[in-house]
Amino acid sequence: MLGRRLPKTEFDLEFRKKLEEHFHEARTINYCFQCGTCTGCCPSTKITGRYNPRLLIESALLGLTEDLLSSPDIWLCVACHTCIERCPQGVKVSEVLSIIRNFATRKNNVPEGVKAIASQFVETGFTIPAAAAILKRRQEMKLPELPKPNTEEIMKIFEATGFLKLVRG
Amino acid sequence: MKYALFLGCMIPLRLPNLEYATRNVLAEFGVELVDMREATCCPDPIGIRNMDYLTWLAIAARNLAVADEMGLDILTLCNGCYETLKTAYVTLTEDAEMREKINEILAKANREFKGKAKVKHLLEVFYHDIGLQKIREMVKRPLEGLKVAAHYGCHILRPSEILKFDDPENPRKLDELVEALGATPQQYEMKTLCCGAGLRNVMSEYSIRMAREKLVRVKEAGADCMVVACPFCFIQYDMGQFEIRRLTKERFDIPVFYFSELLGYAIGLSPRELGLGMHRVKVDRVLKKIR
Amino acid sequence: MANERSVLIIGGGVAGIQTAIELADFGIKVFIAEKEATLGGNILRVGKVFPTDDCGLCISRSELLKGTRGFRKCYYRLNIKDHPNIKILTRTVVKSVERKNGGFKVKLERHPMGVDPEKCTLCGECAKACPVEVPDDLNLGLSKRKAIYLPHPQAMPLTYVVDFENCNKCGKCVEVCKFDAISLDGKSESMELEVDAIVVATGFEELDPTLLKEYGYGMYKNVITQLQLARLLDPNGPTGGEVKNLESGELAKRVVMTLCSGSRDQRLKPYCSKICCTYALKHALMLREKGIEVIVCFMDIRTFGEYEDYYRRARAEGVRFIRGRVGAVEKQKDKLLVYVEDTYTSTLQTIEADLLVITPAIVPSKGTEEISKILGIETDEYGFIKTKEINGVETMVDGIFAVGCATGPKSIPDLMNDAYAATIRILNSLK
Repeated sequence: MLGRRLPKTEFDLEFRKKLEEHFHEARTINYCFQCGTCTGCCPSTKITGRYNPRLLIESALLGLTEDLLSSPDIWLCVACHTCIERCPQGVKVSEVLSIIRNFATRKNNVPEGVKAIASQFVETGFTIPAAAAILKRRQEMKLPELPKPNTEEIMKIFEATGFLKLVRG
Repeated sequence: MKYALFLGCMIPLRLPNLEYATRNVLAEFGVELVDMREATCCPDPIGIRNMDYLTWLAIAARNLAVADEMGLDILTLCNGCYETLKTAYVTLTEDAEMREKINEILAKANREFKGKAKVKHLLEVFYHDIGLQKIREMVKRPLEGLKVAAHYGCHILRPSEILKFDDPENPRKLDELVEALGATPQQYEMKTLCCGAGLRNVMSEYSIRMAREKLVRVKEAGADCMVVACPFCFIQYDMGQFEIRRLTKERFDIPVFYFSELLGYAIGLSPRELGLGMHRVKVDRVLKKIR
Repeated sequence: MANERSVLIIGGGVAGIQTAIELADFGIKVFIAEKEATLGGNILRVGKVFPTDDCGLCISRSELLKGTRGFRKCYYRLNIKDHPNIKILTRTVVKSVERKNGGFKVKLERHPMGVDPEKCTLCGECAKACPVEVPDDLNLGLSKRKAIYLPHPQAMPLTYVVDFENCNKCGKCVEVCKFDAISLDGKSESMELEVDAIVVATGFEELDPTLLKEYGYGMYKNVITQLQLARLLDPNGPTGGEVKNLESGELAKRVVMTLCSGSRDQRLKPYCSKICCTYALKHALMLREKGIEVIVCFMDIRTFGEYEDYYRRARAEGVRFIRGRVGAVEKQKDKLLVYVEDTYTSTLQTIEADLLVITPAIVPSKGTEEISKILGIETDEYGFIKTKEINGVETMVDGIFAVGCATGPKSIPDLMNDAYAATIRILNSLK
């Protein structure tokens, strides 16, 4: 939006500290001088026209969390990490934006497709279901049985991290 | 050479033919694989990590702990698994605070990350552990005349500070492996461009359009086929060509090989032993090009 | 050495020459040891210089700014080779140094020129006859030269020279030379000097552009550096002053520049190279004069002090500015596609360009590390010579001084000050 004015500027300059608590490398965003190299090399920017990592980092620095965490566009990252390779300031762009998506998830901003794989993951320990046709094919090819991880054990981890609650509500 | 085989999700549950080809090929090179029966999803470095970093790191650490207990290094067949497991390994070895935090969580599951098991990608095993020379010696059917565009994918190269597999801007190792098979590595624009798989669960049309960007350039350069090192990239370019056709009517007719398949064919395994019939884009026409 | 005081200057570029002139005018005997076959260094490449936009070889007593010309005589016309107190030693390198009698004993090695400057008439017949072609270092690889060549139309000494590394000793040049000026049998000679002080003036070069991998330098012909652009703009350059698309050979219609290529970059050089914003805009203005469209992609414009005028003029002359650092480059037929975000409008631009000019960081010249070790002087973490004071001219070793870009990137007016400062310090030390 051109020439937009925020009614009353609500910065949250502590937001960056919160990011750092969850991910130590988030402190690198302090060095961002908004050169735009990340957006310049971002394939998602190119393909979608709706994703701009530079803008998102600036929003995070200023703590404009209301807009930032409620925008569905923040999910359009392919996590190719080209931004990290090319950033002249060593900002871990894509990795920090991933943490920001963690925050967005807690505000219920998460795509259906992602929720679906998380659900599957919590149920079985895998993000893809075992289709009958695939099991048949595996047998035909004489491939070994699929891994059978101890789901009780994994559940304990999901409980400890709070993931279970996050997925199931 | 003996490794703990980490299959991930995509290969065993969607593309078992790639598992089949890989097992057969590795057997030819005398590589021993011990299945990781306790392995889960790595987990997914995009969807799961985007929802909760701590869970992602903890489950990855559990997978590493399983390998620690097996006393073997991990062999991954997928870029996603490689990035997840190696990043977790590096993070937990370098960040003592994080390591403590994660081990506290793992303790609840009676596991501990000790950092003994290293993480290797299939291409690393071929390039470094087996070596180009040995591969050249094993080639019975040199792929002469075949122009192969190597697509490395993202998560085997970047972040390069952590993964250190190859030059992130000008990678060479997969091209050299292709050359060792007698084929010609075809260069093309935007070689390090992502396949777009990460957007599948968010907005599939964008995902398909991103795959298309690479196919356009690969076709422009005149390649006969593509070779990939990751099942997600595989699906993006193999099945992806049909999805693109539905979207834009474009036809590319560029067969996609997972590296084990190409290597297997070159060392004399039959198309059947490699599961090549299961590709969406048929490979026969391209195999005929080989002199 | 009892009555005669002498100084050795290592490096015969602008800074070295200016220091030599200042000291020589005072009656000090000055030796200039220059490793190339001609004096001049980078100034032979840059053509016009800021802030006066005239020929860079016009050094000496330059009153700068706003077109005020003081005593300006180009080094060529100054006839420094005839200055009674200056001895020019080209193709000469320092091998070892030791302290002696409060000064230094220096061992030098003089490599043969192959051609006698007193006899060479610059007819060029030798080069025509020579069968060997190698990349031309003056033109930074943009053209080729023969193994016998004239280093620059204003070389000092003004003579053809033999590139012994690539010469195949076929002797064709000797056959055609009517003036008996060529000798292919030259051998390197040792030389010893005893001097009271040493001045290091080894200059700079551009950061190896192949390190800036994301721009495709080396992969794409049309990605060049600012110094290479200076060669294209020079009427004496490889394209006769025509700025061309190097793939197609057609005149360039649009040139994209990206600044800070390797400077202010934690992965390469964290510092700002200071002078490149100004010379990039100097180049942009020269391109505009030729009617070429110029787009400058920048993070900041640091045309310091009154050089801000370059920025103002560039805008007035229609240079387009995009605030964004180039993110990706690819080739499409014989043009480049440059991807850059215009951060002012938050739009990703895809710019079709004939040339992409990158602006590599300024780094110490190749020989600096070696000479520092030989002299036992300290360098900083970037390889620049460390001085006792900030912006100083005294190295950490008494009696050894450093001027010009050897201590850090700087403009010509600033390196002139180095020359004057070094002169007064040396004179004081000789009292």
